[in-house]
Amino acid sequence: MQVKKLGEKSSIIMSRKKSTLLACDYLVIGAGAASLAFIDTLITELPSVKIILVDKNSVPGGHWQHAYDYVHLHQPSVIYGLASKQLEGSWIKLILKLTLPWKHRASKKEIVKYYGDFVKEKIAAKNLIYYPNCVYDFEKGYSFSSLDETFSYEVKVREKVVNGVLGECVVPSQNPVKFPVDDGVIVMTPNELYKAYNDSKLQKWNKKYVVMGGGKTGMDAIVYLLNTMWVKPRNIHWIIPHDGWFLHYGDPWSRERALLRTNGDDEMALELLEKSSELVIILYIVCNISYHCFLMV
Amino acid sequence: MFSYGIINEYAIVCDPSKFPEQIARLDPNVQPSRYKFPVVGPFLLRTLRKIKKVIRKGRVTALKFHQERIQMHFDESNQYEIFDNDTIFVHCTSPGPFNDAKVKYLFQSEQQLDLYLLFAPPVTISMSMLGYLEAARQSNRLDMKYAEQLYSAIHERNPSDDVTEEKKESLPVNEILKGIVFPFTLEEGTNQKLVSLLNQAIFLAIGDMDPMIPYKWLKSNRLSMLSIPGSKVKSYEQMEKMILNGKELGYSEGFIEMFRLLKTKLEILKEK
Repeated sequence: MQVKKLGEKSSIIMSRKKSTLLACDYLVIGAGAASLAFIDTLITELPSVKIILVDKNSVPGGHWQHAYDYVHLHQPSVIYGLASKQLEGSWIKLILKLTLPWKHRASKKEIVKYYGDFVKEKIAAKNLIYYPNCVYDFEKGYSFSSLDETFSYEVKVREKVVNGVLGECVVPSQNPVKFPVDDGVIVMTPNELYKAYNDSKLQKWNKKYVVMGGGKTGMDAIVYLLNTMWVKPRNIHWIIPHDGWFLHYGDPWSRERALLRTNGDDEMALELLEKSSELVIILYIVCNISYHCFLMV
Repeated sequence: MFSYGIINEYAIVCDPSKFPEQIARLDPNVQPSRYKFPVVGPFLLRTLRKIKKVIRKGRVTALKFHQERIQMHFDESNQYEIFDNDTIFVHCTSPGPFNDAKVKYLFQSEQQLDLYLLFAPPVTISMSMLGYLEAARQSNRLDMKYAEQLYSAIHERNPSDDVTEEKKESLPVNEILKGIVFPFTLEEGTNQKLVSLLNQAIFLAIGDMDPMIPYKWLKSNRLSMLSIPGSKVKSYEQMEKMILNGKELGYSEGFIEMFRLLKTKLEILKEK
């Protein structure tokens, strides 16, 4: 709700600055995770910097606001977000809830609020002017306009234009299926599945589901069907176009270090990484026992 | 009370390089064809493995009614699957992160910076480091003399060979950064696969005249894996290995020379 207010306030700014020339040090395109992490460090390092942030969405947070409501980070919150601001919140509060801080995986709601609060803080600090519901004109450059084309802006940029939408994450709710589907076939995005379930429109017990996709979204859908909707595994088919190696224990650079050890032999590197499992499983059990003994004490 | 996946969290608070590094696949009998970045811990993997009806026939190309049932067609198989007509299909087939972007440079020009990965995901540490580099560039804190040496090494350019006064002048800052800071992409090739290690070493070497400053910055940045107590950067040791095995790894002489330069500058970070 607060974030929505932010968008409304910015709309007022837009109407006042209709057809005017703006000026800033950096013009940043996109208000997603990439742009905001960049802006955060830039402001920390250059406290007097002036930034204009242009985004096609109505609130900050990029793809997170379009993602399905049951999405959580697939990495620990402790290493995600902004350098200046904890995403996991107070460690003391987490520990009192018997949750290890590095075990916390932020939800969609937490992430969208986190980014919204950050943008509000930086607007208040006068580092940032935020233009939601606007699109940057890549062809013309140094200009953007509102989605409804009512307002347009020219920007004098003293340092650089920063493109934060190159690696933009595309989620199913924004990207309809790319193949022909006959009328009457029920295809749902994860967002629609969530809504249908929560509106009690799904007679879940006897339904059969086919999850199409073997990535993070597909995995989340499987977990949601099994653990929230209590669909029986036998009622779920899973279409996996291409199997992937997944990180099992959270170090994204493990493949590169293994490649260095195997002189670039990818097959050997993957084998090396996979074979080290037994020791980790033992450590897993030891750590679990230690942790729970500690809690009991 | 049983806390599943705790080792996942425990592992990352320790020095990852001392730990058995881990990857997993859904089905031990199926060879994966690509590398993905979400962390799939033991509990999640166990949950996913409950699904026994897994279909591996490529991407879905059509969903059609046939004799009051639904036919599913695939791109890698002529066989189709049949489902009841009230089946619910959950669409999870979006491209997801990275958006198949073909990114060649980050420091595009004096006027434009493109935000893309410097390292393997999570994305936010790469963007924070680009913010640091950009701020250091603007406030003249980068070690551009060293950066130019790195540039000259990989572009096999020897400034002392230049004859004219004009050519002896330093290259523009952005041109140098464009030539030595590489985007991390999902493309194959060893140069690409080791780009996280290389970018980290370059960041430490040029982020300031004194490599201890970017090192301490990384250690204190909550987004960095190095902020985990006990973790080590090991860039010096990695450059040592990359010099030793550079040719087998597929690097050119120019790159190996760059690794030598990086090793020299990062000696202060030995065993750190």
